[in-house]
Amino acid sequence: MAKATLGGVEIEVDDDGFIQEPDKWNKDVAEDIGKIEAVLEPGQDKMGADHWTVVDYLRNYFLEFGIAPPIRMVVKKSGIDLKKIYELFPKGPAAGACKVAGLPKPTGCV
Amino acid sequence: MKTDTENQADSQAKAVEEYEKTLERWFGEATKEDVQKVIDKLGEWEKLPYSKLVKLNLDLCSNCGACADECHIYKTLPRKEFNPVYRVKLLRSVYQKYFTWVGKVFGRFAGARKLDKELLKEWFVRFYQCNMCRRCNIFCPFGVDNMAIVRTGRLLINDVMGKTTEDMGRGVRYHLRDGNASEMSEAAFRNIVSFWEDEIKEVKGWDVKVPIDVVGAEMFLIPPNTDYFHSLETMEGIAATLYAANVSWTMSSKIFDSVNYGTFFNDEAWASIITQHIEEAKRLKCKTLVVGECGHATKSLMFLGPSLLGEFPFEVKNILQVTADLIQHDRIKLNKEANPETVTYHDPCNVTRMCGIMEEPRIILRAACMDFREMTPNRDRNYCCGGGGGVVLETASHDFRMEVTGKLKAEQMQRTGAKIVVTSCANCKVEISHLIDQYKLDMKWAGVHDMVLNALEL
Repeated sequence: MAKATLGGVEIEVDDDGFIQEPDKWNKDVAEDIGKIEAVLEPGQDKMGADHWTVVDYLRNYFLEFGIAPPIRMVVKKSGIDLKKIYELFPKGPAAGACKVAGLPKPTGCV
Repeated sequence: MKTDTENQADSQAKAVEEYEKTLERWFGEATKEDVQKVIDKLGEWEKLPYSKLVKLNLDLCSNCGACADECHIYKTLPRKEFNPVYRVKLLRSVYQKYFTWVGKVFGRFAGARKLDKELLKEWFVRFYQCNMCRRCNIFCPFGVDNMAIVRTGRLLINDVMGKTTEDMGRGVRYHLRDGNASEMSEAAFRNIVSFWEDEIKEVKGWDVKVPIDVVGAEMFLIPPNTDYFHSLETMEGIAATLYAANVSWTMSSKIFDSVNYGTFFNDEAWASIITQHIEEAKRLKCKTLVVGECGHATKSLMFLGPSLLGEFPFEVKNILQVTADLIQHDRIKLNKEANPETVTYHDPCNVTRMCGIMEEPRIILRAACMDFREMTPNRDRNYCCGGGGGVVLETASHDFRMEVTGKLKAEQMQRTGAKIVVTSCANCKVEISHLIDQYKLDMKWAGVHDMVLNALEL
């Protein structure tokens, strides 16, 4: 398992870049993963409000239920449609946004 | 300048090479002891209940190659190592070397081969490149079952070295620990169930309550984990159907994931997981255990379970059989006009070829859709989507699936001209959704019960 320095902290990541130590996640870690996974506004070096709406929703759901929420739930509850989510996180809600939010990689036919 | 064909050949070669490297990395290095243990295991394994079947398969293959032209992988990329015959030989040559007198005496001249570290690594790579779809089996003049051979190879390696592909191995570890492959807690399960209920209310206006832990209900339903994350409409359609038909049914708050990835590589893990399913069905005292839209779980519970563990005290059905039966007995009302687009159906290997559930999805789709069109070939001759055998579970297999194993399926889907590709297996749904994106096909994907949900009336 590889180590990466994210938000100034050394964190274990898997082959696909998902962090393996969810407790070490914080907003700076998210911004650093976002540099790879998120599309930022021109001239910005940090994620915008829409990015954070998605990331916060995913993070809070994960803290409450221990898993990533269904994609449609994300769309409905965050108010940001799937097309927009793909614009914000080109790899999509699971491989992109969840990674930024520090969630483990989803397993199974999902 | 390279032509399109040359570019395509390059990207295919690259995809194959990269996934082979990944598989080799997952395998690591075998020791001499590992090799010896695999040989010993092959000897012990001769005593297992289904070894006669595998042995028969190894003996019967005459290397005629009739299967090669029918394999979707070999058809896409005709390399010798993708030929089903080649895979049979990988196992048979070793079996002959140690367990037949011809192989012991004549060695290489009789096609026998010593097992060493490199050959064991090749087993791993080749056996995990196969989709275990069993299409070769129906075209084989002797009925050789390549899936059984591939599975045996995977079992031997996993038994001795504990090796399998990454995400599938993790899914099994989670399943043995939590009772499902996706780390879902009971709270998460209940949260998503209530989300299904909200969505049904939104699209149908019905107050459907999913029954949970009802002892004595007639049917106990277990859908695959996909229905909680990736294809929620499928489970919403199932819940709405059973509600509309006033069926006595229940789900379980403990055992709510039908998948059993042990099916693909480990007998012990498979048995532990299926025991969870069986025990919960007994606890709930159901008459029928109903598997949701999931291919390998249908195979596991309908076919492997009763064959290897003995008959269950309840019957097992796939949800397609239940819904087709409700339609034929006029217990639900469907309005086709809700589904005006052209629809085609992809037959999942495990549902169709393995369990013979061929006409039920067609009964449902003809009743629920205005324009149902077959893809060619279809039913038990259909091609695998390219994700079978657990291959789709690996993120790392993406390019291999898109460039090689799923290419034929993408072309086949496109030829139908349909706007929606419907299928009834979680594995196929994921693979087909990836193919639609990759090949920019002008179509959507859906489950059978997604269409039923649209058409259902009270």
